[in-house]
Amino acid sequence: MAKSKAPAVSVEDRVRQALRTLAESEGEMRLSGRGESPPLLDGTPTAIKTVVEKLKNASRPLVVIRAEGRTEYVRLTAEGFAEVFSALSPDQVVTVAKRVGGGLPIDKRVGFYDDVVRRVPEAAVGLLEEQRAAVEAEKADAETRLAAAAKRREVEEATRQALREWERLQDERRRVRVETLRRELEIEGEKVATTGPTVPPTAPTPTEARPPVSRLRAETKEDLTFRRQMARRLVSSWLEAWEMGKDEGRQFVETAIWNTAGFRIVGEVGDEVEFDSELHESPEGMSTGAAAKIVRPGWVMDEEDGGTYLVLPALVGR
Amino acid sequence: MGDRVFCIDFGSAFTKVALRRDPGADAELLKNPVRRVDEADFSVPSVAVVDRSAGGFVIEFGDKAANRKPGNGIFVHQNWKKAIFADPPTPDGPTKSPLEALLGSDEFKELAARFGVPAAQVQHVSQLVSAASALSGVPARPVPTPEMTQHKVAASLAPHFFNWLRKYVLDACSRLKATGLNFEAIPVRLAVPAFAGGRGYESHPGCAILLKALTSAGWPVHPDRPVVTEPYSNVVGILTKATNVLHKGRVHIGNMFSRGPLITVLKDAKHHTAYRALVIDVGAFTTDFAALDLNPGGKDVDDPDVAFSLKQHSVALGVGELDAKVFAALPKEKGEWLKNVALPLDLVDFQHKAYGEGKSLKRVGVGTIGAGVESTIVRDCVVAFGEQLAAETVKFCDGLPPFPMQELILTGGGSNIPAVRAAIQKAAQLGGRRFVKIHAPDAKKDGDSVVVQRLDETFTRGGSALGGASIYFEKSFY
Repeated sequence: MAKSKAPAVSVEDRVRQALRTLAESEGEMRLSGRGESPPLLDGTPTAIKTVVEKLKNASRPLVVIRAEGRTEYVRLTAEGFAEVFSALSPDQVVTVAKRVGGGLPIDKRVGFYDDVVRRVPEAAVGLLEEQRAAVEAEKADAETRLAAAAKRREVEEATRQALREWERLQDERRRVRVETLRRELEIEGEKVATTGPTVPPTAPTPTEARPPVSRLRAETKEDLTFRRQMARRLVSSWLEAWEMGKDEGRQFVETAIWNTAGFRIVGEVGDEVEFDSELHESPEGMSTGAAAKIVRPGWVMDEEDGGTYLVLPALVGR
Repeated sequence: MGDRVFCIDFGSAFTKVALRRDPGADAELLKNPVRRVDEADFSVPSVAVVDRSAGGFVIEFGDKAANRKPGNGIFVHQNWKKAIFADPPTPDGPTKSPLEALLGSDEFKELAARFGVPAAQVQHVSQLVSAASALSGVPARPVPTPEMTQHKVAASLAPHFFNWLRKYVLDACSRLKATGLNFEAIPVRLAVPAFAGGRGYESHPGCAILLKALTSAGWPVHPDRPVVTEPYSNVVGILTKATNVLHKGRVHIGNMFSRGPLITVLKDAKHHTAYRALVIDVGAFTTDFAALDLNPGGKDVDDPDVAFSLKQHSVALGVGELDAKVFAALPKEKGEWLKNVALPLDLVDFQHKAYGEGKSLKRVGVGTIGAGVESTIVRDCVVAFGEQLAAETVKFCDGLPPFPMQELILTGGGSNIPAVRAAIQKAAQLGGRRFVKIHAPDAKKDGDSVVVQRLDETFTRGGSALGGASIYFEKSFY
């Protein structure tokens, strides 16, 4: 009797299975081949080629290879974790989230833990310490960046002052040279046109050097309509990236919005605020002035007449 | 003497307030400092929120009440104006005491069943209470119907609303360029729905409630003309473009109405016997038709205000209906996103692009909405909606006697959709009806003899408030 052939497993299923195995593994794993740690994928390089490509996808890697000495280990990325978290128990989610979160850059960690807890609220207790540490790290990182920015600004200012002084010295040298030539001509008996004393041009101050840029003004109703539509479209894209957890893309759009004249962000995630329907929205009944926390920031645009265009109210919760 | 006046257009969803600072000054709409993406800059939400979460109650209006969710002791009253102007509610069923009403209510029976009390015992208790009431001789009170309760709530909200609105208006006036005016002393006029052909509306119980509420909130009510009807003030606002003109201390109707068709009839009634302004306002949930007729019977009229008559009709058909049809016709995922997920900042642009320009809205998650085949789907829905409104327009116009001098005014958000506007415009001109002038958003010339006047948002949404503040309604200047 002929042996029946096992049904072929799709690449997607093999990728999912590999991610789940990696998530549930208590020790380190290597991607494939022989070594001290067990391999994540069995089979010849040709047999596992497609699965490896999917896992290491350049635009959205699901795993990342880390080298420690001569050994290479495979770790889940946040994207890889997102693919399998629904198959894990809450305890497993906590364990894996700690492992994945710990390997993320500081600016990604808080958002990652937020996302995990949003999807699996039971993980909140287990991840509280990690989130606390991540927030602290983020704060420390922000302070470091602020200090670096202040230092940079100081150096820039010192450079600007030095350049101004440099220019002043050049002008002084030129003035002395002209004056000397004039006196030499007088000594030689030549008449010198009296055009008044040569006044050295003063070095322009930064404001004089660059005329002030007038604030963007909507001169007509059409200007205002266009400006508001641009505001809605930018914020809509930002919101969609937020909702889909595409942090990198969101940061690019956020930068564009942030740098646009008149725009103002409403709150940061976790900010404690007093509920105000002129700026916030809540999915449940909430009193004006009630203690609330920002769940998702909002955006407003300040207009020339002092009014505020509420593009997106910030979402708050208790 | 109404040298200056505020006019409040108290709308179901939004309230608009206009100010005329001097007899000859143009009326202006007061701007709201908080602008939401789906509102005009001069609109303030009429919604009321009653907050009972802390035991007492706090009432909020305007932007503090906008977009609030009910629950946790928060009660949201979206359209409380409707309850004020509803026909006076009457008690339901036989007269009973409140206790008897409680015992006989379905809610009490449900509660009793939940606690395992047999129905027979409930009936016995009810009979016992009835007998005791009869013996005690305590007069029974009528059982309030839900409409009565809504009416009572709405009437109790009105003074709070106008109290809040007064502060809002005075605050808005403080931001106006210095005028040296005492805004607190400026009287107010209210634009109200038209009843019974626009006659006797002042005596409607709803008007009485609102005027009393205005007074109790500290507003000085206009001594001669405290109320005007919405369609009438809308026509005046649009036709005068909110201008007020005096000549030697007297109102100059000719200049105010730009010497338009109305003036032609007023000044030469022998040759031009009658005038009609037909207003069609396509709103979010209803479309209102109004015909403002002037039939001076061959005599020249100095004061058209006394000679106008009004006919109006309202149908439950608005842009909301078009949205529902489009959302249902689109592929399920996209329709549900538009219906349940999309925020105003996306809906506003979808409506503008898909209904107005035949273009699509693109999102990463749901893809392009309204492109390719979907564009045809959306167009078909818009055309069908236009046909429905056209049929209603024909129905309304067929009930009107033919007038030689007519103007057509199209307002409301639905009039911004070119296909809808064109359908209404065409229907209004069926059966030989002709208009000498058409006022509409983005109006295009239609035929050689028709004059077209383009309306912007100020007039399509603020016409009633602007018209109500017109010197046209000040008898002392005639």
